[in-house]
Amino acid sequence: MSARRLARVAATAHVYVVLTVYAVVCLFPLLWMLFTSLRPDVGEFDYDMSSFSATLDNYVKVLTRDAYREFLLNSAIISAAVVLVTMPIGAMAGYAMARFKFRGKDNLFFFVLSTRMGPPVAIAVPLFMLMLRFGLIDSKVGMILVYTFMNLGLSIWMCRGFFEELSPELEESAMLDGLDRWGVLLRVAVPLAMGGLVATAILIFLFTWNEYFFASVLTRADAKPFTVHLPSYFGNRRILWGPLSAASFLGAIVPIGLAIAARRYLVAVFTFGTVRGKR
Amino acid sequence: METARRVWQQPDVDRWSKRRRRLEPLWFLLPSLTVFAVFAIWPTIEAVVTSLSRYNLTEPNARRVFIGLENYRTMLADPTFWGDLVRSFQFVIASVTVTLLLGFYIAYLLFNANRGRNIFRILFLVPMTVSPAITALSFKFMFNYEFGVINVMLDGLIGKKLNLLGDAGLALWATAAIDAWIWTPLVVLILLSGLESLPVEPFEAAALDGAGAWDMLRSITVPLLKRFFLIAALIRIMDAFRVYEIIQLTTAGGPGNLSETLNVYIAKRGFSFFEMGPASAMAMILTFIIVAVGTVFVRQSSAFEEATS
Amino acid sequence: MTKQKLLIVLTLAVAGAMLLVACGAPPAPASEAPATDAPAADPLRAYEGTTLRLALKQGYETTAIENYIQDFEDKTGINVEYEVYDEPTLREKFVLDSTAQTGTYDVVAVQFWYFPEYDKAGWLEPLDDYVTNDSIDGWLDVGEIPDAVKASFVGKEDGKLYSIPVSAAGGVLTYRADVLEALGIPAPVSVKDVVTAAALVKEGRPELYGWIGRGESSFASFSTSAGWAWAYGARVLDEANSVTVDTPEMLEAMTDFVALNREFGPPDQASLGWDAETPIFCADGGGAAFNFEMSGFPGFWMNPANCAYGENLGMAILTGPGNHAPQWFYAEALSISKFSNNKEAAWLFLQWRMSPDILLREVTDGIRLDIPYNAVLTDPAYLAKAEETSLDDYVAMLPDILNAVDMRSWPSVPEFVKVAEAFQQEISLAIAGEQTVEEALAKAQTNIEQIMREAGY
Repeated sequence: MSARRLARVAATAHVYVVLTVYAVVCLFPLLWMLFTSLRPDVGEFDYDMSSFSATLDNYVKVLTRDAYREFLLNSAIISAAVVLVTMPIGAMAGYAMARFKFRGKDNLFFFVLSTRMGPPVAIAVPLFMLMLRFGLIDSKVGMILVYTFMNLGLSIWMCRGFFEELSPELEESAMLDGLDRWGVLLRVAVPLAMGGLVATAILIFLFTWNEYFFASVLTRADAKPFTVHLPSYFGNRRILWGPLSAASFLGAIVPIGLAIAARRYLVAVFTFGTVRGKR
Repeated sequence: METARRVWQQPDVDRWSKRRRRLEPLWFLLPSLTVFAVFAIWPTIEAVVTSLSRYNLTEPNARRVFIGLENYRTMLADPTFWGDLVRSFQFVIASVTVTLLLGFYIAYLLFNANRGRNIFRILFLVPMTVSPAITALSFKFMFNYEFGVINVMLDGLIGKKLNLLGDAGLALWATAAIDAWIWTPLVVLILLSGLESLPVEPFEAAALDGAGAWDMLRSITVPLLKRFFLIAALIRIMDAFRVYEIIQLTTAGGPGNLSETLNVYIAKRGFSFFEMGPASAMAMILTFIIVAVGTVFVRQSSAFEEATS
Repeated sequence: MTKQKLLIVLTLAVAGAMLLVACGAPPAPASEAPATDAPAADPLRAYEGTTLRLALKQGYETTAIENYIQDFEDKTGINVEYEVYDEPTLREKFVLDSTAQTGTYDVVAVQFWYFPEYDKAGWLEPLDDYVTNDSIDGWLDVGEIPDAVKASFVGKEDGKLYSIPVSAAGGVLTYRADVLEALGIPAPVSVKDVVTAAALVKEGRPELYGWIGRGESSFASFSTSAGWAWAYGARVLDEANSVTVDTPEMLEAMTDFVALNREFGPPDQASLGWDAETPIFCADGGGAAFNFEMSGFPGFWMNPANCAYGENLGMAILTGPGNHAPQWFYAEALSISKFSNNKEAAWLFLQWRMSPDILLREVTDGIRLDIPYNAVLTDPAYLAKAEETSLDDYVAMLPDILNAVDMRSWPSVPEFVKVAEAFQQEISLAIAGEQTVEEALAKAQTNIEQIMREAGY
């Protein structure tokens, strides 16, 4: 084999070996969690593989005895609703920032970005008091509003990027044909940027689904998402790793499933308006 | 072109239409601004006022008492605050550096992989999709010195174990590693998109000039990806300063307070001691730091944009 | 008006309108009003139709409620909704709700170490009147609960009882009796003996840890170190609430304690908390020889069904150079929130929860045996169960363990969390080898003095 051929084979091997190793690193904790969840609760630190017998006890306990199904449903409803609210609002604002010129646009954009910069603890108590006044503590509506606020900055930022990278000609010719700005957004811009918008929607779903801190402060029983329930698997004398792993795995499947289902969109477009437009 | 430009400027010069047109972005922005007005402005004002007050929730008939800059003075004199601030920076620098370097490495390899690219992309997403609370508990389990699977494997392979979460020197870096594990995939996604969007001409020209892969990487790829690096860095830095569950659920800031970052300390003062005044003051400072760092990065990317457009 | 100004004005107007609406809106109603005004014939059903809301801490104290609540609901017609949280989240919720005086929770689980804080804040309902006037026969008899346990829930100013203890534990040394026997080591009597014995174990059985305990730096582990210190006559605050950390007795106590942890404990002892002890103590292949903890743990370990070495464990109440027993007191109780709208119904619930019937059911269903209720401890069903699960030795020792409780060792102040964190953090750093014991105590002394000063002592 020639030296060059050898080098190329080595390079390809290098690529795939490293990628595979990294894939294992990415998957290992989740697989370990799955493995632990399928074992009886007491022997979770036992590594003797020969005596492994899978059992669904943990899942049965989590899904039937605890109200876990209800919490998962809460998470699903809240996350889906947040996406449905945040995306249209964010797309509108992002479009305005991409296409219109107005004074203070950059400042406003920075303000939007800055909503993602504060530590949550600072506003936790004021937010609690505010929601209390509105009667929104422990309500799905309240959580939807809070998470909308928390994700709106991201939504606007990304939508702006995606709209910026569309070429203005299509929109301009649509306006020549008589569409107003609103129609252009709906009929031209959104369909063209759909990949990026779906990717953003998925990210927002993810962040809302996985959120813990505000959920623990602002919910009690009715709107409690599954994340807040997880620490209740700390028993008195030891952490109940079996049911905890089962509960965690159930909580992890939904976003993973979603990401897989929407993989076509996720692979597309984190370009933040750098590609076209500016060249 | 002429027509297009005129359409853009809307030929109708009637004053009312002009005003209506100038108001147009307002309609697009109004819902977002309302949300921000209610949830961002008012709680922020409250938080600022609290930072200038004494407000302990567990006192009888707790009321907020204005005390001016006292909280800030005390904070600046508190060695714990400075220690935690240093640790916050250490955590952020460690985690962000690892995610950027590793993320680029993986993105580059993925870009050069002809087959299986999509499968790998999906697999790499998994760390991001799991809740940080779950991830923290998983790693706490896996990093356990006596029984954790990581140490059991290490013991089997090299006969030594790592006291990852209990060693004074390692604990902070172990939590930074967990943070990096979670978010490297995001950087991979961003940089991969960047790589895929690069034009081929510069590479072809360089290849014709006889440049090797390493040279091309150094002088073409990386500079062209600069904007993507900046965006990835910005997102990561903003989030790394605000990490909470990853540290709290693994080491709880221990041993001692050697893996406690400022955000963890703020949560402790605010939600364990319920001293809202000092907690808010420190939160203001942390926000200011994040905003300052963020501004640097945003300026950098605008400057870069200006230069290359 | 420029567009930008218009934008700002509009936004502020909308926000202002929302806030006006919010200020005008009444706070969320707490619960439904109590039931009929016709005098109920059956006192149990006096509050039929009410809904009670409980905030509980997960653990074996709550298991009984989860399992048997139907019994209460059937007998009283009261609807019970309960929420189970881990301790930090429970505290957070109780504090926020009490600060805002929402009255959402009627009954709250209170851990004894927060009691002074809640007492001072006035968030709990005193129970003396209910005990005198409203007791249901056959249910809770407050006199059956040991005084030592009730003492932690008595108001500082008014001496009234504010909570009904559900669980209580004292400090006890658990050790591997088989290992000690095999190596010819006598069972420790003093805390000093433990140190020498641990060294002998390390020599004779190097694959075992001499010691496993709590070394992590949060207030939850404070009892391990501060409780140990009492055996030497050392404590964090004295009767006058002066800080007595930097004293010769404490130095001796913590030197021994840190040595036990550093030299004979696992390498990551400085970050191990309550959840790390059971896997190590009960591990198949490895294990540890000595552990000092609250008695709830050996109650779990000595049962062979839970722990591989259950039958081989021994317990001892130690003494020390100061002629006191080392401490590890813990108690959890149920209280009625001051802002509840259903206090009478809540009192009914408290009586049910600690009624002998329910407690005996916990015993026979294997939930727990450490029950702070004298009548239950002498019940034949209780003794039979203890025998059955090999816990008869454990059960026999429980009264002595509670008798050894000495609350003079404990900083019963509202600022407990801050004080305990300040102390335990330094000890944890010493265990990790980051500072000497002298440095740790000096720093803790300064920090705690500052905390007490700021609190007005």
